[in-house]
Amino acid sequence: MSDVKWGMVVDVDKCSGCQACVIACMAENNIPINLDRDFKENRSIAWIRIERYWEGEYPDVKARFLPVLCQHCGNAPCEPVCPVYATFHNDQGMNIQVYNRCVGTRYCANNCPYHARYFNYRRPTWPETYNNYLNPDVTVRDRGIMEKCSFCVQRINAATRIAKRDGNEDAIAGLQTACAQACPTDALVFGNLNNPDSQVSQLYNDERSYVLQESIGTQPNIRYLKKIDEHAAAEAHAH
Amino acid sequence: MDLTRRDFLRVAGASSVAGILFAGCAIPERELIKQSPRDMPEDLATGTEDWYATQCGICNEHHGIIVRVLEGRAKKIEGNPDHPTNRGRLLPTCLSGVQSLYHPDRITNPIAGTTSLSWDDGMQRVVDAFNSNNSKRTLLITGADTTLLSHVVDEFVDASGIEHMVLEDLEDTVLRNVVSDIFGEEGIPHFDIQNAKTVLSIGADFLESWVAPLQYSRAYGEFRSSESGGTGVRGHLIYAGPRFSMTAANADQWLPIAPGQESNFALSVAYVLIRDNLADASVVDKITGGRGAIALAAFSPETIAPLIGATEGVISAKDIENVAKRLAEESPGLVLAGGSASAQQNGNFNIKASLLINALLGNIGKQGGIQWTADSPLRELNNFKAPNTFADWKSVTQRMDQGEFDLVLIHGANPVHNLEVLDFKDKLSKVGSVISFSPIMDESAELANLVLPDQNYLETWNIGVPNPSPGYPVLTLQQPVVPSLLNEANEIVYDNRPFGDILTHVGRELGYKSIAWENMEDLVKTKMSEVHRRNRGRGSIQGATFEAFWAGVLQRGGWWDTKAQQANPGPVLASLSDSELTVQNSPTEAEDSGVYHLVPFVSVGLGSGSQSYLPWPQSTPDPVTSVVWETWVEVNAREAKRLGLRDGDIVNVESVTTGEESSVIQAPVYIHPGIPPNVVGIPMGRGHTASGRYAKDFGSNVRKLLSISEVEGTGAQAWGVSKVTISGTGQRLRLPRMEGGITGMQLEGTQIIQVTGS
Amino acid sequence: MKRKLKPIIAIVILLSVAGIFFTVVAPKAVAFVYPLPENEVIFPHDFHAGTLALECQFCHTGAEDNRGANVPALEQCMFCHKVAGLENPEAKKIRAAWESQEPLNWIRQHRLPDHTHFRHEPHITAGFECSTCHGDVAGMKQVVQVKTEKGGALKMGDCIACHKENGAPTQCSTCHN
Repeated sequence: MSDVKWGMVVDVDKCSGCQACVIACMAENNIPINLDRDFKENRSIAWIRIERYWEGEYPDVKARFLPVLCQHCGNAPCEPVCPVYATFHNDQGMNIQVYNRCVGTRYCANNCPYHARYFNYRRPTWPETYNNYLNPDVTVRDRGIMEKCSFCVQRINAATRIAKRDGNEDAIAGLQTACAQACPTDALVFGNLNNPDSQVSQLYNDERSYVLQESIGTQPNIRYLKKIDEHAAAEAHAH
Repeated sequence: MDLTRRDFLRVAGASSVAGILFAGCAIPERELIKQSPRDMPEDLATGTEDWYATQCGICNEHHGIIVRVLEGRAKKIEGNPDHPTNRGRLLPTCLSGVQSLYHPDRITNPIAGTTSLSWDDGMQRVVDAFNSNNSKRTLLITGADTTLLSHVVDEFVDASGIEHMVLEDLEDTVLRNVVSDIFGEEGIPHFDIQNAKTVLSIGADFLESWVAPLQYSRAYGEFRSSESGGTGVRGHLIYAGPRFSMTAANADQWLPIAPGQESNFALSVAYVLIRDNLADASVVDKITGGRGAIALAAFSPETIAPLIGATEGVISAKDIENVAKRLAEESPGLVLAGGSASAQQNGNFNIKASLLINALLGNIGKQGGIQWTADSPLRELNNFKAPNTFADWKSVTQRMDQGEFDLVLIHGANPVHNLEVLDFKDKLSKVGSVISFSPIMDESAELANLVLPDQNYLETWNIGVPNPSPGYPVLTLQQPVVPSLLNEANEIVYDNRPFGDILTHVGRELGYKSIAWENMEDLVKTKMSEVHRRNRGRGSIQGATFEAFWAGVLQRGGWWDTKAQQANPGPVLASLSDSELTVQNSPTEAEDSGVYHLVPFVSVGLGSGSQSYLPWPQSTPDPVTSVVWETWVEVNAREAKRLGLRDGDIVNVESVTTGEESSVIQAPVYIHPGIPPNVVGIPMGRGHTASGRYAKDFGSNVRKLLSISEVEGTGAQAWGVSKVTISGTGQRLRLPRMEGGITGMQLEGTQIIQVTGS
Repeated sequence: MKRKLKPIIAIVILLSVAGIFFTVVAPKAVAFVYPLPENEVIFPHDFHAGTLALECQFCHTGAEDNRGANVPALEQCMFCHKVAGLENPEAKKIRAAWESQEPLNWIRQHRLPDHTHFRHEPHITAGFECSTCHGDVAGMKQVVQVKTEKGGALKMGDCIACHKENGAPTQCSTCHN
């Protein structure tokens, strides 16, 4: 079982900020439609979001894009605070949210340093015809439940099952999350960290790789690759 | 058992519908369990999952998608990994196709005014309209489209003798013009970003709106990659333009250039290339008439740099020198130009000067340069009617006003929204009879006497040609991936018909001999058999028989021939005349303070306006500002402070372009640290007064403020010259956006975004 | 101090009453009676699966390779009933429905609880008999949910027990996601 450990590498240098991952995730995981009032009340849900950071101001201005999703921490701050064990860690490096256990205390969201957890403040509603495109492999979460990136666990389950049935690891090797699959610039790379030949494990150990908020000691299974900027680096050198 | 597949899906699909219906009175609850809000999706679908390859019908790139289908329902759209232009990748709008298929406001059947009609009745009314109206006084408006449907439209137009106009969402007239001037080629070539080492974009927002953003986004990923494929080196991107766009945000260097100064900048770069012997000598001779660097001496960086900055002193001579050197030394260097650069009074020259740098760099027809596609294997898919220019639209609206048209038919375009600046609504209401083929009650359909809803692209047949093609011929096949949706009573929910079939039917009723096919399916099959016959042993699908070929095409989502010869580029035809070789004085004459350049733009998630009836595009944060569901006004942070404007203050934005009628829109301010203080940016795509529940009354329509003047020598709209004033209204709102929704927790000494030099 | 305790005592009493109600009283009060399906057509499983000894998957085609076992489409019924049981009044209904191309409304007896994903395919390919969970359908005139040893229809405990016995994964995300 534990010969796989799922992980992701996010290349900050390649991310163009286009939001394809955001919508691909919504389509895959039955995330409710975020209306304008959801944004105004800070109650929108997006398992992956692209944060934009300003540096400087006109004319020497930079904007940098950073996709943020659940970091699937090895030492996850969300887990010990849940009174009902609705979030736990499995042997494949994933942090799992169990909807039918969740009672909605929101402790986990408050303790997540990445703000990667989202609470369903409302009963998700959409026109009836939109039920037709819901993904049957993913539960629709009701009001009062915490949710977050699952690393597309339904795809992992399916691939594991198919690999077992066919006795062939191809299904697992070719597995991608919805966000990584849609990303036009290949900024998101998902895969098995225990396979030294996989693209993700090679990038994981790249000299550019770093951990988001490393000092907290969360030991995430997601690493980022540094933005390349010769101008900024030259300035830093001059200081 | 003569049961067709369609019937089978009907029966199989309906039995699951019954399951849903009766779920409520099935087994009584007996455990204390939390109820989910609706029948769980795992109860809705139990069938086998299938993937069908087809074509994206949301954006205009005609790339490949695969659709996951369960029990006759389209579940999710993903990129077709085989398709050469997108290779499995997508942009947010393309992913939203399922929302157009199941849109709650999709028109369910033909309607005339408020009465529903049968299709027989509806079609007969179109035939009657053609019989009773003079074809010279009939106008057909379609959207820009490079598919087989265009061929049907062309045949119909030729046979009926009616007038036909093509409305492009974002006008590329200038780019097409310049390409034809310089290279003598029709259409837009392939800009090979992927294999370039240095890219200079002059106003071309190729990651969000310019020509083919998905194709270019994918190429951009390869361009930035230093590992495999491409050049093996991380490419360097320079952006020159007045607004800090998403493409500018991704650039290694942003040069804020004043609107209208793009040609001066480009010629200055050209001057450095020629002066330092970095340019192709034959091209230099051609464009300077043999005079060499002397001809461009007026454009020395020292002279030009002080002129072109959006504000004083932001561009130095060294910047220009560096750009030129980098393009030449880190080759291939590639120059893209468009967007606001093409929408200035001198837009045509801006683009010409910019694209000529490519010729000087000697990258025409080369990897990492500009390439042309060999002819498509189908004659019908080679020469599409070029979209009409803004000047054409001006004259046609005038003619409508003068009562020159009795019948107007509209398909795939929303001129009432797009041409609001020409009061198209007012003019169209003077036309006796309007027939719309819109599947959504948009602003144009609202004025129609008869609406015959066009069927969704996931339910119809077509063949598309990516525009621009990736340097070799590609045909993308569009096939119905789902049967019509049925309701509980087994009636078709959306009783729509494909526009191609409507035209075919009407044309045959009217006795047009040239319409020799039965319907779109028939036509698509006939054309694909032609492809099969003419390309034996070539291309991605080969089959001994047509059946084998056809099965392969259906499975793979199209046919392409990556080994096909590229068209050889001809010599550079254009030269620079003496008048062009004088430094153009800033057309942006010194202004009164309080007047701002308006730079309208397209946000990548929302698109240019034709997708805003879908909820996902509406709720996709703009990458730079993260605003959703609202039109915002980007105002420089210091300038806003000076004006006393705060974030979310609603302002009146009034157009004050010299010599034009003024109009006003209201929108909230977004405080932007990156935009020049004399520029305001406003996104297009919102401000619909109809188009369904997700578009109506969200934001305002910036197109209303655009200048109606034309780009010299082209007839394109010079929307980039628009000037506006802004004044507070005293009202505020909370801007709906992703940013700020989450409290930052930057820790001491922890860089969230870490930067390295290499 | 006393005043503070009062509400707590009240809550404790309330909770225990509720606890007793839900564990002891309620299960008996709410008897596990399932209505027989009021289908348009009475489908005798005992005849088809028992007397004729048809394989379950002859009609429930999805079981071997899919999520659901599938309530069969009318086409499947017509496979035989074009020629078989011409005089049977129930089979006549089927042919009538087929001729008018109107699907039949079958009522499901086995529904999953919310937030639960179950696939037939891995269980069938692993060699389990349908009767392990569905009981002796071949002996039922009309299908009902069967009771397990502990009483009551299938519950999560039954799933877990079987998964543990057979070394199948037992982490939550296997079924709940």
